[in-house]
Amino acid sequence: MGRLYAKGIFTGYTRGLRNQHEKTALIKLEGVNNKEDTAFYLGKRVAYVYKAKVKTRCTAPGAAADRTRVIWGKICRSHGNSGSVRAKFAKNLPPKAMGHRVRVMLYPSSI
Amino acid sequence: MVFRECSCSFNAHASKKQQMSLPESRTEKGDQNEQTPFFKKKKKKNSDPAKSFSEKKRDSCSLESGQILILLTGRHRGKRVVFIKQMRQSGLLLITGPYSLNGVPLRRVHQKTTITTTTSLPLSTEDFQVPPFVDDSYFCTKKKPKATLESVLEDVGDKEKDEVSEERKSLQRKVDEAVLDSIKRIPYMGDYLSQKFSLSKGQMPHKMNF
Repeated sequence: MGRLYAKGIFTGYTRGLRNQHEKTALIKLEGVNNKEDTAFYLGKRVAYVYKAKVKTRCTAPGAAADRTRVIWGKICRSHGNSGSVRAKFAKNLPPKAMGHRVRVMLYPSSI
Repeated sequence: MVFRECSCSFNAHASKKQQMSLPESRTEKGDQNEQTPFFKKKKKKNSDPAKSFSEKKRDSCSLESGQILILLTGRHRGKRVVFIKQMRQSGLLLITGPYSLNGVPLRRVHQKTTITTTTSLPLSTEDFQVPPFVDDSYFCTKKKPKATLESVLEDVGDKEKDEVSEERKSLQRKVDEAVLDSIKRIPYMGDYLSQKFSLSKGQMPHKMNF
């Protein structure tokens, strides 16, 4: 198929030193190292893809039941000066996803 | 969910308060600095009474006919397709593969789910015109009649397959004819359109020029 998403890593939740707020996730995007570069990704949809034991029905037409599941979200704003980004998901990301891959889609596209 | 930075600013226009003055006290323009308040005319937005609301809503996109787009969603994701025109009513973009090159038929697509490349085919409107009946209602899915108990008991087994009508096929061939013509004139364009787009290692979308 080919990759149609930018790679990101879920680094953690927004937090102070001793308290974290799980409603907003911090994403480190690959190749994005400053705040100006994050402008491209604002508003883009993000997906945390994971596998579970029980097969669930796929949304793709004619696809068989699959173990793959997704939590969808959106990049809402930049975070800091070094290219990190904040994202809000439909359901908060599970903490086991920290340090793991998050897919940043290229849509809604503004180019 | 409210996303602050990515949405447009709603406080862009400060409301101009209209200062109405009594007709008697209104002076000439030159006497503004005196007691009477400056009479500000309310700024009218693009109010064109001739256009109905549904017509006004759709701004024409800045795409040229023949521009190559990359599809990002749907079953044809990653494919490079040719933009034909913007649909009048819905604002969706009408695209074609062409079908023989990459299997994408005449289709409507939302601009937000495509990447516009700077590559374009020279499709002039003189030799290439989509027939006028190709509009949004042509592509809308026809509603199936509600299944009643009798109809379900009648058609046992034989389900109607969604076959593409001959009309659609001939329309596809007709539109693709002109498009394929201009593709053949450009070297490697046919190969370019039949290959899918994908990101590879080291390719950062924010640094790419499409």
